[in-house]
Amino acid sequence: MKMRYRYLILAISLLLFMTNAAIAAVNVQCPGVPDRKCVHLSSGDGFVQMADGTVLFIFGFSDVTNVINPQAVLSVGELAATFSAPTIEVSEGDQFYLTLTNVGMKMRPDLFDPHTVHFHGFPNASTIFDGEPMASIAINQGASLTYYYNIVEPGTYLYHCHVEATEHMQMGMLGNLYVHPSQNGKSINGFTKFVYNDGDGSTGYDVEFPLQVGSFDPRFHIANLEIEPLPFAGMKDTYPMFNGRGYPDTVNPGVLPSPLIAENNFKPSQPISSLITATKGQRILLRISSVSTVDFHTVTVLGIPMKVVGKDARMLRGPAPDYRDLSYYTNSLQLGGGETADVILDTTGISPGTYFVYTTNLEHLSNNEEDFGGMMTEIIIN
Amino acid sequence: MRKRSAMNIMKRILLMMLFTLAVSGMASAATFNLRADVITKAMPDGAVITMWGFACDSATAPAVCPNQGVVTVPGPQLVVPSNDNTLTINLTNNLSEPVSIIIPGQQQNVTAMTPVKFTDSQGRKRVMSFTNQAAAKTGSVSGTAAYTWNNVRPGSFIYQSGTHPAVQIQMGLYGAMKKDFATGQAYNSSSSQYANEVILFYSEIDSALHSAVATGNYGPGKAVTSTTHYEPKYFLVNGEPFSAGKAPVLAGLPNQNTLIRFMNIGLSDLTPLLQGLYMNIISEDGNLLRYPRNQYSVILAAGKTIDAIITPTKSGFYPVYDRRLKLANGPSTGGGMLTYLNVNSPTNCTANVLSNFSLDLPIVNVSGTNLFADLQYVPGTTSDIMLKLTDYGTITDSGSFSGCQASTLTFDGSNFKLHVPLARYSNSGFTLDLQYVPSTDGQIWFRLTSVSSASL
Amino acid sequence: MKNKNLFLKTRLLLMILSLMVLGVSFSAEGAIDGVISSSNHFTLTAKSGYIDTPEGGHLFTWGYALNNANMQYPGPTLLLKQNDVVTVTLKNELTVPVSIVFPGQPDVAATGGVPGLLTMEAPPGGTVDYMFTASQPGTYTYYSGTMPELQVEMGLVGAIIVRPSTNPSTQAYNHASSAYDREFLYLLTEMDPEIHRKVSEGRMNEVDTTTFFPVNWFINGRSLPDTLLEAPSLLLPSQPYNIVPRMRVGERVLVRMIGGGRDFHPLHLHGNHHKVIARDARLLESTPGTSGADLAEMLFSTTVASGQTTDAIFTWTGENLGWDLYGHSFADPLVSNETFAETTLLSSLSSNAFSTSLTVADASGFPATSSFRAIVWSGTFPGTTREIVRLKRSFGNTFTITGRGLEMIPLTQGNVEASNWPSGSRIAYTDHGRPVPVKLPDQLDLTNGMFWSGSPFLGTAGPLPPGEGGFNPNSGFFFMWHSHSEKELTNNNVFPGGLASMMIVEHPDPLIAPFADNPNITVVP
Ligand SMILES: [Cu+2]
Ligand SMILES: [Cu+2]
Repeated sequence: MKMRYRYLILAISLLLFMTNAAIAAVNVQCPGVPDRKCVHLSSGDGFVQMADGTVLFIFGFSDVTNVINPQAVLSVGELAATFSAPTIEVSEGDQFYLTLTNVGMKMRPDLFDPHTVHFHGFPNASTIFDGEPMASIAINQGASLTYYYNIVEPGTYLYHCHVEATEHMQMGMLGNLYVHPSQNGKSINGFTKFVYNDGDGSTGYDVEFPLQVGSFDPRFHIANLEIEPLPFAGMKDTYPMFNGRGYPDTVNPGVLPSPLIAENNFKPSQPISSLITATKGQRILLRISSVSTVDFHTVTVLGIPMKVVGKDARMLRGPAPDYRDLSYYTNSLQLGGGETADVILDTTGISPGTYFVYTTNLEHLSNNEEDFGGMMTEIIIN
Repeated sequence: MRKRSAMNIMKRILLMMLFTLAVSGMASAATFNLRADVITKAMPDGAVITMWGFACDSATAPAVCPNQGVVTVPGPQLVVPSNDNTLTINLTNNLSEPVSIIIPGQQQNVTAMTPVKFTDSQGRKRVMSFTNQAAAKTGSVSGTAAYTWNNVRPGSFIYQSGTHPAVQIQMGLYGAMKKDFATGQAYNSSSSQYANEVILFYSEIDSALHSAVATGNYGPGKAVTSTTHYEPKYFLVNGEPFSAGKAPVLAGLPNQNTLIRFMNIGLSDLTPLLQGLYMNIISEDGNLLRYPRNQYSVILAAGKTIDAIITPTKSGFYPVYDRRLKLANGPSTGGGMLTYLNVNSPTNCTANVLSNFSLDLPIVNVSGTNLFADLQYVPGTTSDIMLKLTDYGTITDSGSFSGCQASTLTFDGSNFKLHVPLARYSNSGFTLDLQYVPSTDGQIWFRLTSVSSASL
Repeated sequence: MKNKNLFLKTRLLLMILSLMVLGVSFSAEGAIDGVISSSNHFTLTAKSGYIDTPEGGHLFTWGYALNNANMQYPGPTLLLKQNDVVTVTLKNELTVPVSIVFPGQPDVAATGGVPGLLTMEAPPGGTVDYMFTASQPGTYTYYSGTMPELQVEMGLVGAIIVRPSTNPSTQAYNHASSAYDREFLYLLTEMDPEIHRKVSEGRMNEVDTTTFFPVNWFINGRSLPDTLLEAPSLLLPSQPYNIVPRMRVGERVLVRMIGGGRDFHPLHLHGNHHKVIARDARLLESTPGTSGADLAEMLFSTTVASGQTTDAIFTWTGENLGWDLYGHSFADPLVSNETFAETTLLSSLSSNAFSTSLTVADASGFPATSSFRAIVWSGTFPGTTREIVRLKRSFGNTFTITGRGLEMIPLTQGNVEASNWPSGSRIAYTDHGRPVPVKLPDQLDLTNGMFWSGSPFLGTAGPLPPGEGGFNPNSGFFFMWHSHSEKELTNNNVFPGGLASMMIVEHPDPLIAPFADNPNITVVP
């Protein structure tokens, strides 16, 4: 840490302490109603470590659903941001109460940015729960806002903070959001888990894995930490990632060890592995989403045919009355930021071994200046 | 103009020999003997780029080497015959680092590929190669490796290096691979029938990256350590950027189906756009689409292949260009990813009858490239009509043959059949049955065993 | 950071002031601005000029002007009818050759000028006539075919709309699956000011288009917040088109998207999914010409690729929100647009009979897989007894009660329970009377957006601190429609801006939210 700006932060935070009248309080709303599902997220800052060892400052979310004492969230959520943000899984029919508590930016006490959750792709959204700050409300530091969603459409969504969207999203406030269909639990063609209410088992799968396409521009993150002007115009992402990690950290099956930074109290911040494992004969569901703020990416699976059964949280079927089958086989899939796809890999006839998933935009097989990295992961078929 | 050299002619004669030897009952399994090697390529602005490419040194019938023995970028087009389910590539590596070959979309072997990994300074394993490699050339010893695909499916594919892909692919280690479901039909659907085909193979060159690799300045601790700063300067179709005077690609006749195989091995996503035409997009990455899509443009992401069928109703030159406007050669305009499709009116042009009873024949053979063969009638002492192969090669300037209808060369298991149309795009013509006659004079001889009129 | 929003607010204040000066209420035109020619002859003049970007940029630009008018960016939107035989005369007042190509139009005949790589070109001071028959309806684009990697960047790009022979004002194509109530254009482009600077300084030979690095992004030639400014605007003389899509609840909005630049843009529509019905001016249909858009895709983001066009239908009903969008109480009358399906019970519902069936035709409007909230009543609503039930389709047209007499949040009034609903009772699938299930934070803990009405309910304003909100006169729902490459939400290093617009869903009652379709159409002979 450079001393220069640490003193600056100290000075500013003292100043703010004097002026910021505290009216805020953590308030979790999780009423006892049928089909209720509750999640509590905190928003704040933190650190992640890129696969080449570089530690980057991030903004992000942390899952504090299980923190019993609400007021403790302000400290538990401090410097607890993870990337990718915690995955949210709900089911069709859920009354979903999502509380967001803004714990503030420990490393940037000069900022008092509000935050939101934008449930990206939620059908027939209302503005109050859309999280787009120009048309809605955003929650200030130290306070909570509970979003309510009546969950009806299954599929692969994402969520992100929409405040100062370019900055907050480049900084990492991006997570997965999955809605499971009501068909789950029924047995159709030997499957009990499905991506959609397909009626015929065509979207059935045995194991599912997230594949969140994302990327960071290190210069932007460094400027943010050092309170320098943010380089919006020059933004060029050079750390391409799956699920918040570059290769080979993508294939680390566990939670990535905490970045070696004392400031964040050694909290692990990159929980999601991208190692995909299955037994021969199983159907693998890849829930692919792109949260890149700069680039389109094309993802390929080498050696296993990709069947695309869903796009943007809708089953690939045409409209009534014909409901034509629009699913298709391919070998690669291009996604822009804010797009999602459901891809099924049928491993019947696939020999046990290691298979690779990577971007065909091959310059993104780098961790910035380091080669043999970037947007790549492995599938192990046993 | 056609380009021939004495050495090439000899190589092609060798090819013909091999082709002929296959007669004696070999199993049907396309085998290509490829070599990875260094070449330089001149760009229209005079820049000379060091590239890595493939050459096809030999092939086992019915597979045929295009540009036999010549290192090209993209590498030689590998055609797997429709009735052939097995593809074998024997790779010889003359490069200074290990290389390999993968074909995304084709499943290799009955067992999985065998990735090659290395351990980094933190003890993490990283993949170096997706499959087994041909070792680097050491001294005069080239590395070798063999790859077999046992269940080759029809479609358009890109074979490419599976080793250090971020560097090796953009260096030029790629080429087109295709298999048709049946003659004149790409997939198991009548919607994929075609009378003519065109390959538009797109690639890019970042000259700075090539020069770093060529001069040993790429790698850990060197001037360039990753491809993250990739910024291509040249945008190529079928291995060449557009420049003034480049010949159009033959694309059949009005009201005929012409299959366009779009392939993109560049690292950027493209949008090829057909000006004045719509196309039916029928497949993606070698997978037939359930419903064709009628568009004038198509998103062609990095690494992707797309097949589309056009049926122009009028003759003319139709531009096809990348609508992301990669239409410059470095800073110069009027280049890049621009091609013209030449849809021709019928003309009366067939084999040129030259002096000395020679036939100068443009030929489309199973490899799909535009070839020519010159056959000369040599009066002999017997009553047999003996034809000597005097020249054989690739028509590199298709424009000069644009008015001519190609003959078709097939091999029926024992004899060659040369179908020569009477007129361009006419359905009738005649068939020459040619029997290869081994000889000791170093020449290729055929006996004309029959001539018949034929419906082509 | 606050200063960034301040900038946006200043610009919007300017917008409001200019609207006041012009004596207009906050207006948005529910249709596409453009030019119609009664003789199907358009004259476009390629000339140079300047465009303004919200961060204070002033970019030297080449554009197509209508006749002798100002250079404009993008070029005039040509509004054609199917089978029109169109002549476009291009006059070149630039110092370089220029041309027009018309992707998707067959057999374009070009006369005059000199041959170029893609078409006939007009040399400086010269003229070319392009003639074609607009044989198929749809959304198209036109742009320069001369050094397009530079000239498209410089601004020589525009849109063409060909209206179908069948129902030309309410359908995009000759099939009912393309029917719409309102239409809007999204022509997406980007610019690299460095290139414009070099060209303006006469250093065109120094331009290297392979190093293209855009930092300004546009919809219909404007960047946020100028996208919201009125059209045309005295402030933006060379950028006559805006983009303020606006609809009433339940209407179908046709979104015509065009990739005008060199980059792909993932266009994300907040509010709801959109149904992509056509690409490159061809319906997504299994049997061309007959089946209609039976291959349509439901997306929340569309990849708008360079040179391609995409047509999508967006609608918004508020269905399944889980609370009453209008803030009605349970005792209020049912308004037509707040029931998503309504029918008569074919069998009784009681404490013994948990299943009921509905007529097949009516049942199709009820959710297929999710449980949903419904109100059952007999007699005239709300004058008699009524009950809230939760139903789920069990099979076919049979529905089973999963909950009754109670809500997720208990109702505050009007929840009168009856024990038996005979066959013939009415049932509606609706959120009528259901309150917002959560309590909103204290106003002091919130940051309010400028388009926030202060209330969750459509058409209802709520209390806001002084200086906050205020840009939403009808208390509509504003949804951002924008590039999800979020880098593109900036204007040359200034956030917010760029490729973004606000779509407004207004209350269905025209008295609450008055607005009318009022496109600016220029008619030329
Ligand atoms: Cu989003
Ligand atoms: Cu958004």
